[in-house]
Formats: sequence, C-alpha cells, structure tokens
Amino acid sequence: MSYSSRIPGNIAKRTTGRNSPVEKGWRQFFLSDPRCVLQNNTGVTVSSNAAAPCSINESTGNTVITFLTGHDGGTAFPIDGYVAGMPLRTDEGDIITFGTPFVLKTMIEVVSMTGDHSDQGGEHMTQPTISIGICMNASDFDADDNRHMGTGLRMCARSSASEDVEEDIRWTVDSLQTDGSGKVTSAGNAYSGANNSKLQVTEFHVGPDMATQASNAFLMHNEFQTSGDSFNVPNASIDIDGFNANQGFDDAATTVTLYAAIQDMETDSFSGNTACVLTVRFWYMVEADFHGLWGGSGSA
Amino acid sequence: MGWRNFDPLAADVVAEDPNSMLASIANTGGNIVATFATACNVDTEHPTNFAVYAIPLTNNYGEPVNFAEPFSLLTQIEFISATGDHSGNAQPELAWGLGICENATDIDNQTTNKWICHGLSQGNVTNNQHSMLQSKSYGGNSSQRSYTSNMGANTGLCHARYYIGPAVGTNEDCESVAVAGTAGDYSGNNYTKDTSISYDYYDIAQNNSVFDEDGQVYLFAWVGSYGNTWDFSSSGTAPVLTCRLRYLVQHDPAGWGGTGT
Repeated sequence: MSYSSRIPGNIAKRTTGRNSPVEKGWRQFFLSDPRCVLQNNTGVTVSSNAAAPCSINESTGNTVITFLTGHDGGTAFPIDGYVAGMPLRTDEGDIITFGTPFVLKTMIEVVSMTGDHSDQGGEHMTQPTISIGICMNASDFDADDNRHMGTGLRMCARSSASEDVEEDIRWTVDSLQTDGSGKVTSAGNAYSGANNSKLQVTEFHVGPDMATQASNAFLMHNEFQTSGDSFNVPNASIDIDGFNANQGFDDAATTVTLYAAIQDMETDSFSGNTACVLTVRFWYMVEADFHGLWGGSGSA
Repeated sequence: MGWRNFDPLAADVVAEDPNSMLASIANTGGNIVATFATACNVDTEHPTNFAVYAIPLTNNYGEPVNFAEPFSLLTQIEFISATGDHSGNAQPELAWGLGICENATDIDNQTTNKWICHGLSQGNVTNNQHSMLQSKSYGGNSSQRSYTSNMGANTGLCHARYYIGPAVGTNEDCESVAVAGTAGDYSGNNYTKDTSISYDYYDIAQNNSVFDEDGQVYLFAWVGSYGNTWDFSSSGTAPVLTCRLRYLVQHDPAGWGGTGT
C-alpha cells in the first residue's frame, strides 16, 4: 500500500529552477521597454529648448520613429539623440558586466521611410541616423566620457527623388574619440559602403583585459539585403573596428548597458516639413558565462 | 550555460589524424594532454591537416546549430604547459586551436569541406611567446593560412570571435565569414593583452570558399605541428602539450528573420 506524506523530502537537484523565463535567440529591443532608461533631454535643439528629435511608437511590434517637422540642426552622433538603454542580460536574466565573457550579435532591420527626408545635399530635410551598441554610462548616454561602441545606419534616401529607404544608405560606427574626449562617428562611403542594404549585422567583442593600450574592444559588421533577396551583400567586405584604451571599456564591475539611438543629423535648421516616419526593428542575441567568468588561469 | 570545455574524447567526436602527428590524446580534468608522435614525415602548415576532433555545434539547450541560422561564437585557447623537444629545427612547432567547418569527417578534404579556424602556435618558447594561426578554405578546392609574427611575452590565452552569415549556405556570398582574435596573459596577470597586434583579422572573400551548406555546423579542435618534420626514434623526446579549449555560443533556431517588411 502506498501513501503520500506532507513531510518535505531532500532536495533532489542542485538548483531550484530558473527565476525568469529563458529568452534564447534573437530578442527584439524596444526603446519603450519599461526596463529602459531614456535620454530625452538632449539631442536636436528646437529654438533654445532641448528636445528629443523624434517620438517613438512601438505598439505594432515595429519601432516607428516620427521625426520633428523642424529643428535648429542636429549632430552626426546618434548617441546625442533619442536614446534608450538597459542592462544587458543573459538568457536567464543575469546582468552582464564588462568583466563577464559574453557574445553579442545585433541586427538592425530597416523597413520603410516616408515624409520629407534627404541626404546632406542641402535640401534641409530630416536625415535619420540610428544605431545600436553598448556603453558604460547607464543614463547619461551623451556624456563626452561615456565609453561606447555602436554600429548603425544613416539614411540618405531623398524623398524629393522618390528614393526607397535603402537607397545610398551608409553604415556608421560610433565611439569616443581616440583621446577619450567627445564622440566620433565614422561612416561608410555613400555609394559603396552599404548602398541597397536593409540589414546590418554586428558582432561585438570586449575584454578580458580592461586596461590594454590597444583594442580591448572591437566590432565587426556588414550590411545585407533582406531574406527575400537572399541576404545578398551588395557592396563591401566585413568592416572591423578596434578601440583603444581611451575608447574601450575599463571597468570590469560596471554593468554593460545595451542602447539604441536615433538622431536627425541634418545640421541646418528647417521648419514646416512633412514629418519623416522611419520604421525599423532592433534585434540582439547574447550569451555569457555569468558564474565562471573568463577563467584562463594558465594552470592545470 | 556559459563556457563549455571541448573534450576530444566525447562520445560524439569524430577524430582523424591524417598525417599521424599525435601518438595519443587525453582529457585530464578538462585539460587536453596531447602527446606528439615519435616521428612525422609530413611538413604542413594547415590546421586541417593536423589531428582534428569534430563535434556537432549545439546551443545551450542541446539544439543543433545550422549554417542557415544565426549564431554567435567565442572561443578561448589556453596554453598550460609543454614538455619534450619542440620549436627547434626538426622538432614540432606546437599549434592548437578551434574552428568551424561543414563536414565532421574528412576535414582536410579541400574540395568537399569548407572551414575557418583560429588558434595559437608556439614558435618561440621563451617567455611563452606565441603566434596566432588561422586557416580557411580557399578557392573552392584549396586552403590558405595566416600566421602572425611572434607576439610579446606571456601570450598563452587567445580569444577568437567569429562572424558567420547570413549570406552562407543557400545564400552563399563572400564577405559574410570572418574571425578576429586577440591574445594576452592569464587571469593572474589581469589578462594583460598583447599590444603588438590589436586584433588578428581573417576573412573569406571568395564565393567559392564560403560555407555552402545550410546544415549542421561542426566545431573542430586541431592539434599538430605548424610545419617541420621530426624523428625522435634515435634521440630526443616527443613533446607533450597541455592546453584547454573552450567555447561560448548563442543561437536562434528560428532563423535570421530580416524580411525588411
């Protein structure tokens, strides 16, 4: 005869289960995620008032960005604009620090663009630039000492020529300047760097040395056409960018902040335009060794 | 979760040593102990011609990683010790690392296999100086390798980051496959990075050299001699290399997405 007992037994397993659902594979980054810290007090200036260059609506599952119909001129740095950041976490929710070995792949997917938009040809219209990356400062994203590395896409399509969003699109790479003061954004050639691409895929590398003089951090990116176009590479080779001791990351204990950034880099003022509406998706996948860290003692 | 040790004796390993470079290999508590053969009369600098051990790459949940799917891979190559005669004239130059390839068998078949790999070679034993060694399929039926100069002292810890896809397999296109590595010191010395080489970048730039299958990705370890022949049958001692090979992977079995619509 069998019977049940209410007396607790021994714990059969070494762990008591996961404390949150597993998020494996691609995760979509939403700037409206309640876990995000927003930078909305900087960016493009409207008259004398600081304001974000755009508003965001992600209710459809896409990131729909509506830019201002006018402003007094922006910068080329996405991280000066509308930025949302949150702690980078493993599949199971553990926070990743810069001292943790991790893999991080990101993908920016451009969908469409409407309204008034242009390149730097003097049409005085919105020129969107967007990026995704990691940084050390969890809230003051545009600080001149915020160590960051990001990649993105700069739209150069002209609405006046009825150009599609991928026309003349350029890749960008963002970081601090080599002396560690202020920001720098490098961009691919307008007509060969990423032209006709709608996808940007990036691999990030950080560490393990937090004090090196040369490239403790680097990223590799390339741009592709969509799945329906067989992910063709229209133009260039994979681009790799390394960051020196002033640009890379220098504190193993600091939480890695994953951010997405949006900016209108039209440098001239304009007003009364039809709002540019850019639709995109930001993706990332990440895994880390949260408990074992880097290891590498060199001893048996 | 996290790092996984590569075990050349795991049940699902497919092993081959086409040029008989090793006498034996063992796994001692996660350390790989490779004993070189007494003699070898083949001089090759390509890791796929060394002793190789391939496993199907899986994600943290045991699901197979396929070339048609996005994955992110970091490897760690760690030198622990070496004994015997090595790195001199007519002696093995110890070389070992990890890589990915299409086929688990006949890895050195340059016509049927595609691969890219990265690791270390110990050309100068003074102060544990190493070079980084890379190899890739090339031209449809050939291979290429690259070899950095000797780095500074204490460079026994090497990391490699892989960039794979999405333009591989059915969608094969060059400029979608690369590896970039760095090397430095051990944890006890704050992982001090070698600054003579910012990063060691190696990519595939020919369509006929790119992974052309959508199926299973194989992770392979390689151990052998970067060049040189040797014969210790009358004098000298075959070297014994102890190392650790680890990898960290993330993957989405649901695919790339990226419709742009």
